[in-house]
Amino acid sequence: MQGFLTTAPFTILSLPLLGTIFIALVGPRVHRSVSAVIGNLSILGAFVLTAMLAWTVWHLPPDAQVVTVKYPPAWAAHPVFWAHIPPLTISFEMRIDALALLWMLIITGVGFLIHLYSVGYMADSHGYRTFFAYMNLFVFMMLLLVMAGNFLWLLVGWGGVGLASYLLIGFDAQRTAAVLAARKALIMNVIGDVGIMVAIFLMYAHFGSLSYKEVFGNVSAANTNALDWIGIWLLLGAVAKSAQLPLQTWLPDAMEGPTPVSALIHAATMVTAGVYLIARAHPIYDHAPFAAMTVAVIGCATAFFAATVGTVQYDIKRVLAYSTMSQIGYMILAVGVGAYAAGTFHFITHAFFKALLFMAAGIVIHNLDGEQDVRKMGGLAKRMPLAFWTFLIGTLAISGIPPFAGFFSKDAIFDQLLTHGHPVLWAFAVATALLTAYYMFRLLFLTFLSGDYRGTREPHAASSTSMAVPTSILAVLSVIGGWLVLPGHDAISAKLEPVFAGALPEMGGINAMVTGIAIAAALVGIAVAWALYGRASQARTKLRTVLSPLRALLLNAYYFDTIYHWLFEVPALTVASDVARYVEPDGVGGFTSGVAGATTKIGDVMRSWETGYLRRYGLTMVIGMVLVLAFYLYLVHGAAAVGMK
Amino acid sequence: MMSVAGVSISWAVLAPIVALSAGGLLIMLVDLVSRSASKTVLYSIGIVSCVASFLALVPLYGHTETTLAGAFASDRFSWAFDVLLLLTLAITLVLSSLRKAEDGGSPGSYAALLVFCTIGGMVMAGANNLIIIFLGIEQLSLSLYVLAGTGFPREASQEAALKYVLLGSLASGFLIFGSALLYGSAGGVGLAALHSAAVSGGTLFIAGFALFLVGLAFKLALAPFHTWVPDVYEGSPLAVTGYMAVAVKVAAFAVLARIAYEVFGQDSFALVPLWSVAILSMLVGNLGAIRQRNLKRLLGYSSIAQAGYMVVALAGVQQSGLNTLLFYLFAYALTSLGAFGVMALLGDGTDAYADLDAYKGLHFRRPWPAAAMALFFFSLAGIPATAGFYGKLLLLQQGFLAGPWGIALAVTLVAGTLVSFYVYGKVVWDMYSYVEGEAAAPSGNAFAPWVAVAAGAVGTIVFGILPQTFTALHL
Repeated sequence: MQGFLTTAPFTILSLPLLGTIFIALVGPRVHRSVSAVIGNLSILGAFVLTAMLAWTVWHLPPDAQVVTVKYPPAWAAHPVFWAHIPPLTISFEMRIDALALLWMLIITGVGFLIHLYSVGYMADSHGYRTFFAYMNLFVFMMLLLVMAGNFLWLLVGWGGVGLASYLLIGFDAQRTAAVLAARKALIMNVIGDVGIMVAIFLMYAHFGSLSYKEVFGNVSAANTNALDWIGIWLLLGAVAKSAQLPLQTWLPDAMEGPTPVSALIHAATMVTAGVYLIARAHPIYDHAPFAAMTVAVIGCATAFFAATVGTVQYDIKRVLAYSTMSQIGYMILAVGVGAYAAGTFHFITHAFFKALLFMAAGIVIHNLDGEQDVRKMGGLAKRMPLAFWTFLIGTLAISGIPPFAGFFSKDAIFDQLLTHGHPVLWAFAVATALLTAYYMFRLLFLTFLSGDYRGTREPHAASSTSMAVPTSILAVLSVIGGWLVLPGHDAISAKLEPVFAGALPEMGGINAMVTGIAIAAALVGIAVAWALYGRASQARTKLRTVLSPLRALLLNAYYFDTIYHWLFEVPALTVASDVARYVEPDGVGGFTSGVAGATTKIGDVMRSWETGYLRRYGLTMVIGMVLVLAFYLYLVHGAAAVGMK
Repeated sequence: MMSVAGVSISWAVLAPIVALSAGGLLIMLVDLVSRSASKTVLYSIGIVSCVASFLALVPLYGHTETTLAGAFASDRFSWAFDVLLLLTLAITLVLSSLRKAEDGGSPGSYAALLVFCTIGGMVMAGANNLIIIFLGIEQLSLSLYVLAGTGFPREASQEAALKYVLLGSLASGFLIFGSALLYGSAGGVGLAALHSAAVSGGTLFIAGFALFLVGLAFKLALAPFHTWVPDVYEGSPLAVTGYMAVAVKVAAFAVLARIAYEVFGQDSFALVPLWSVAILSMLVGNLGAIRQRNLKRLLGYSSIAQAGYMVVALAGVQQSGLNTLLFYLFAYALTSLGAFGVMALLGDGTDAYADLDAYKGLHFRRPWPAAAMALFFFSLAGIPATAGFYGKLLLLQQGFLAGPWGIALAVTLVAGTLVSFYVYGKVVWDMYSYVEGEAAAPSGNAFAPWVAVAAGAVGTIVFGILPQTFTALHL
């Protein structure tokens, strides 16, 4: 038992990594299908092992359900640490508990389904092998992020998923838009990485350790002010990774990546890392009320903001991107007010239905040869029944219609917002739910229903089995995934209790009024969507003219990109081009050479001293010797001895 | 234990040197008896004697013992340095297998000289008094003077040997004159006697130490006593240059560390000139490397800068300094030998790939050697995940904890490193930039240099990612 607990985490972590290495080294020499098989099997293996590990851990007594796996092990006579810079010692440490396990199950489980889907989706791609190598790398880094037992290893995974995301967004490197989007995502994510680094420095200053165990064990002794700062810097990392305000602008652009990438990285797993981070660092936020409140407000604001923008977009993947942003806003809001179980629960159901929505959308895009504009779709329900029905299930789930998965997790969040005493946040959350139902059904109507097909390209009919099977599995999960938490039966909180030391209120209690309002809001949203888009409607054109200024604001996502362009990009580029024009070639104002030139000049002078003549070399040595001797005699006998007085 | 003329001799302590000496003599004997003995046989004898010497070292691990009336010691100063010297010798012999008849000299004398040179280094590592130090230095130097000239059909090699011997003699003059003054002030040649003299100070001691330091700085190639380096590195045969870059530094640092810890034992104003020449070396080495178009000269300047870095380990003469010095020396040795290995591999033992132009677009012709070279250059520059990075991290730690001079050293180290990014980066850039047309020089692909390259690469990566594996050796 103990043996399995210590070896399984290493095996789970190494499987995707070995997959990457194998595909990178052997892949190019063998048939391309080998890379796909290896990529899929390594993730499937990791999933099976994770499930076994979860089963094992959850059958331990509750107080033993937080497992720490360390390398070097405690019994090692000569422990070899990863870094040993006295007094700081960092070992390779993993923490396996319910929070990590739930995340690991989703990463490997949904990750496997998306790998499987990619086999069909990427079949025509030139970089087929590379794609699987990157995807496996991503899974490895993401697992490292959630399995880490200290903040430094978390940061390694954190940076690693950012790299994988960069590589995959820019996967189609022939298109400028993809490369620019990848760059944007990387830069914004690095801002977040720096935030976490600063938090790590502060933690080291206050706790002298980066290990979860020691940091969390000492939070009650630290002062609130310091914890608030640590919390805020960690939040910067979470905000960047999870595309929350004000670092949200990269996520819509990231849709330039292939659709499986959007499903796995930019919907189901990586972008939820911010939620994980805050839930993981809960002892800090529990003692840092200001930081926690900031988290909640940012989450709530993003949820509402993204939902409003989602109502007017026409690119099917961008709508889904804004919905992701909005749903993650819910999760951040939940963990910000201390409803950790509700936030985790919503992460799980969201992973199911959002991956499903992306996969269904991917089938549409695949069959339309890359078309993403819903204005050129319509009436596709008959031509692609599988995509339609699965997309419908996903839409019902995200809108919060019972008994689909999203209903239960959203209801848990709404309920806990009120129990924790945040009526204003609750009001915004409900308004977001209304908007969500509206824009998702608008998308459904525009794509699959509302009249006939409007596009010019003839859609392919068939979709491959490798795409159909995982989509169907996720459709089932999007229906039943919410039943993890039913009235009187709360599997999530029960599992998470050892992690959060019993501080979790029970989910699943039905509060008739709260639930009723949530369902009503969703139905209103659906009704409006049906009225405007479900049938030919004059109201739509009329409304558009009336609300045209607001529409422009939303179409441009509140002009964030424009503001950032003028605020950061333009000044930076101006300075950079000025430096390139004036400083680099000639040096500032009349200097004959810039910094690089000056250094080379010194190099030239030094080289000219190397005449090759022995007498010059000997002379140099003698001068050096005289200087050394003079120094000593000066020190011993004072200036007089060397004739300086 | 036996005694000769009243002086007790512990053969266990001397065994590593004896084993290696036997190997050297055997090489000469075989070469003499059988004129047709192939170089493979001769070099193999050298490598076997390395292994024998190492086996004789093993039981000495962790022991502190002196012999020859305290003149020679086996302790924590000598053990790791000896291992590193033997490793360097073995790798150099492997690289030397590419030598051809037209390179000049008989393989027998060449191999024997390398072995004797290493013996000199091991004597320096264990030397506990001034006479033994001088003996070791001279044995090392005299062998090297000749080795530098073993490529004598090329004029550059003759020039290198001549310059080296003339300037080396000048340095030896300083060294021996300094030793004489030190003897005069201390009344003895043992380092213990020097320790008391250092405590009381005095003009004689100070003047003696100044001259001694100058002599040692020449061997370490610290500026301004570095002038021989570029010409000698360029002219010497490739394998000899690699050996020179590593073994001389290792042996001379063994002496310097012993002096710092045993004679001074704490920070002293008498060490200020050492810090000053180290600062100067870091600047001269890195700036001088910028305009070099020859890789051997570039690595020569690099070795000047690296010697300056290594002095930072001794800053403040702190207890942890010795471990830092050893780590950096191991990292430097593996990286340097690896780089010379790549050069030998590509040039098939010749200097064809000493010209930096030959490296343009190397990646597109020979991806693996290019990758290895890039790795070694990253390590020399100190990019993370290589041994060089962790070594520099340790050095900075030593420097910043060692008072104003230490901080000055650390700051210079950072500045020098910045310049060196340009130096090494440019070569890496060249290797990975595509160029049209034919290669500047055809490249070889013998097996032997791969041994050096692989050893260097594995060491550089392992010590870079898991530096604690090194500390766990408890050297």
